Parts: sequence; structure tokens; C-alpha cells
Amino acid sequence: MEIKIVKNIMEAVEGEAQLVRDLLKEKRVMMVNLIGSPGSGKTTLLEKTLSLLKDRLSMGVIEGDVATDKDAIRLQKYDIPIALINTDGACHLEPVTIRKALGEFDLDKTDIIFVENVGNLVCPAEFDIGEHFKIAISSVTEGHDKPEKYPLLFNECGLVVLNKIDLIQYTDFDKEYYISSVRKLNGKVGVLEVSCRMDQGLEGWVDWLTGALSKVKNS
Amino acid sequence: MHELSIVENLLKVIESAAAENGISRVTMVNLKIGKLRQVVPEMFQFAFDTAKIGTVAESAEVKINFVPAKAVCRDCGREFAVEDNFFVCEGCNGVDVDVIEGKELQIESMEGE
Repeated sequence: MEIKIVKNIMEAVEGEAQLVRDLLKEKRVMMVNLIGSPGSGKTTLLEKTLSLLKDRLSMGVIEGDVATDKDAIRLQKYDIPIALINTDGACHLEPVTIRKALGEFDLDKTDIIFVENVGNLVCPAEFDIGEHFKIAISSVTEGHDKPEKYPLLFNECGLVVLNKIDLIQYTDFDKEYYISSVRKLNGKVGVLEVSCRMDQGLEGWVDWLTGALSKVKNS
Repeated sequence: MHELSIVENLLKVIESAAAENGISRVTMVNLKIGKLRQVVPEMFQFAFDTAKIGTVAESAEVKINFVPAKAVCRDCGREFAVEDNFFVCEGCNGVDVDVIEGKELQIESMEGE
């Protein structure tokens, strides 16, 4: 017997993501999903963000790591709430665990939740966790071919952060090529050149975040 | 390896559809998967063959129909095929485009007894 059943395979996952979205909307909290390779600078960007904005905004972090609490420990000194999710081998975070983790925050007093996804350019792009924006973080040391090789992330993200720009002179990174491949995938997206280590370009990131936050709060 | 997560979700949908239709043994599952989903067929097959054991789909075969990417330009309204991940309108070179096909993760039909 053959039965026709046109059904979305990811229905359950998307349902969970919608519950996350509803919760964030009700509490007027912005959630950003930081996605990048291991070593691209996700945790360093978070550290800089927390220290630049902690007097102005109330923030929380959901740390996704395959194993260990190393990143969570790095962020402890900023005195903000952190929820750690160890995925035990899974390569991405899913909305059901995000929803549980959100229960650990006082969302009535939170402006932004940062999700540091598992270091990986493929799977985290695939899973809607109910965030407002995906942020693609890549670094010049990874090479300029990353947008072409991982198109889904660059197609779906709301902003590209190109980190370690201070090291560009020591690499053969072709910035024009990189930016034009991002444009082919996502013509509307901004590309911010930063060096988290050298505190370069971070004002652009802060402006982007505060601009996005006011849109989310007023929507 | 997001293929395994997709397969786990797929098996849940199969289990409930089989129960609703009184099927105790699923023999064939037809899927529609968008090219933009970055699903590697071999990885998907391996994940499916591993995860199906002990489920109603234990002896099922899976067939995937891959859907090419298609977008529509918000500026001029033209629909165009997205080739080589080039999300720029072929009519007006506009970059404000919406993807309309190529992100499917759908079960289309299944066979069983």
C-alpha cells in the first residue's frame, strides 16, 4: 500500500523553534546565534562584547560545546548569567535544548541572549533555534574560500564578522574575493572587519547590535 | 553530521504516519530534499540504515529526490534558478531575493503493508 503524506520532516524541530520565538517576543529579548569554525574567535568576540556593553545592557550567554566548560569559564569573569549546554558529541544546538536553557535566565530583565553555537560551519546553519539573527564569524586565517564552501550559513546570516583582520598581511587572504563571494550568496548582508584581539572595528559590531536590538524591542 | 538529526526526525514522522495508516512494516520512503540543505546522500543513507533498526522502517528503502534551488527577485519579480550558489537576479542583478525552492526537507510518500 502506498500512502501520500506530504509532511515536513523537521516539523517537530520547527515547532520548538517557534516556541522559542514566541517566548522571546513576549519577553522582548533579542537572541543572536554565533556560528563559526573552531578558533574563528566566537568566544573572544563574546568577551569583548560583554565588556563593552555590560554597563548599558543586560545580557546572557548560552554556551554550546561538544565537551568541557572551558568557554563558560572564560566568560565567568563578566558576571553575567551563563547556561552551558554540552552536546556530548552532537555538532549543533537544537531548539529544544535552547528552550530549556532559556529557563535559566530572568528574561524579564534581559536584553540580549547570545548563543555560542558548536564550532562548525555546516550543521548549526541547518537548525533554526528560534534566533533573531545568525551571525557568521570567520577569520582571515581560515582562508577566503569559506563563503563558497559553506553557502547555507552565509546565505542565511544577518551579519558577517570577519575577524583577525590585523593578521591579514601575514596571510594570502583575498579580501575582495571573500566579500564578493559573500555578496553572491547574500547581497544584503553587511561584512564587518574586526580584530577582537586588537580591539579593531568593534564599534561597528556594537552599533549593529544596538541597532538590531532597538528594532527587536520596537517590533 | 546533521544527517543523523534529520533521520531521527524523519523516523518519528514515519512512525506516526505508519500508526495512523495501520502499516506495520514500511518498505519504501520517498523524500524531497532541497539542494541548499547540504545533505550528503551517502551520509544520509548511512544514518538512515543505522537509525531505522528496531523501528517500523527497519526494512525500508529510502529514495531522495533532490530539489534544485530557485529564488524570486523582490525588485523585478523574476523567478530564477540559483546555480553555483549565485543568489543574484539574472534579470536586473538585484540582490534582494527570496529563496522559494531548495530548502525542502519533506516526506512525500511511503509504502508499506
